[in-house]
Amino acid sequence: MHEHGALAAWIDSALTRVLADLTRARAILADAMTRLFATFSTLRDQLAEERRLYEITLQQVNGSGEGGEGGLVSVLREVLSRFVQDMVQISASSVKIMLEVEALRGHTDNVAQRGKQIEQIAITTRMLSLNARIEAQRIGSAGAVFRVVADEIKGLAHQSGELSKTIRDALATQSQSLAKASTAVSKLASADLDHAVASHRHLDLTIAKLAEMSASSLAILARIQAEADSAIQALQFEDMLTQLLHAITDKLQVVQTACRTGKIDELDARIQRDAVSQHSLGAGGVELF
Amino acid sequence: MIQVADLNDTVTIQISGRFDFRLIKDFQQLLSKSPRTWVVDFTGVDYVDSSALGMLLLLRERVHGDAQRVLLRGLHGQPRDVLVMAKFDRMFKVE
Repeated sequence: MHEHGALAAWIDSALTRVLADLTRARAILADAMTRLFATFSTLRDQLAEERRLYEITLQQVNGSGEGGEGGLVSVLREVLSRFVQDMVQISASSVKIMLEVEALRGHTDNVAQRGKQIEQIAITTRMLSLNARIEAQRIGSAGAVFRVVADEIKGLAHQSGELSKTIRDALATQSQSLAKASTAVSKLASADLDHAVASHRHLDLTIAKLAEMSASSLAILARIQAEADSAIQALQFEDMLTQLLHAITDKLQVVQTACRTGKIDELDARIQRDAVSQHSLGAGGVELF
Repeated sequence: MIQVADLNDTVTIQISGRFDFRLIKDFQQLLSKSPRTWVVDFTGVDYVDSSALGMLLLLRERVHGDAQRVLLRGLHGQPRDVLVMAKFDRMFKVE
């Protein structure tokens, strides 16, 4: 009897300690669950926000609709295309100017050719005036007037020849300037468009890679989000665990009471009661918060 | 190099090699012609610069912007890429 009393006292003391440990375990579990729930909720919200921002960014890059209107990609394509079109317009105008300059050069050369003919006429005229002067000299005083006229014609032929030479020199300078202008304009007309085409190709490749990476990144984000949802769902079973721990506490208290009073009949129903019918997380669902 | 065939009110310009500013004078001589239709054959062209596109625009001006009267034939490679980028496929008839 004495031994029974000692055992009952020992069990009572042990149950008191176990109940105290259970109370602490429940408090620690409740605290851990609250923190885990808050952390996973924040993670889920941040993932959702990240996904939303990612989709907005992608929309801004690719544009909306099938044609991708308004997107960065479409704008870049348009800028490149406009650049090439502007270059072509400049080239077309430059080609026109070049053709005009070449035509002007042709005219200048023609005028220079006429100048040479004028110079030839001046030389012939000078020869004629020289002959006239010789003839005037030969007929003596009667030819004095002709001599004066011959001298005047010689002077005019000389002036005409000089003027023609000046014009020819000016035209030669002009022709050289036009040749330089033609070369300069031809450089303006001729632009290499390979760089623009290469940029366009590079842009297409980048877009394809970006699309591939975007799809992959969005899939990863979706998977992480699903995992976070699953974790939150699992955490919501904390309530079931808490009920179970309450039930264990209650049953241990019943055992302690039975040990103290020695009566078990009226306490047996409390021991037999199931606190939670579910046996695993997968066996039932819990509404998400 | 440029070869020209003038037949049945159609002038066919066949270019080989580079279609660039060095052909401007040849083109100038061609512009004195006024056929109903122009055909520019790019089969033998492996490079165009912006002056080539400028010359095509001048050809287009000659036909008062009528896209059906200038036919671009045999486009491929770099010339095709450049012309498509400059949206010439919308401004000319392409075969």
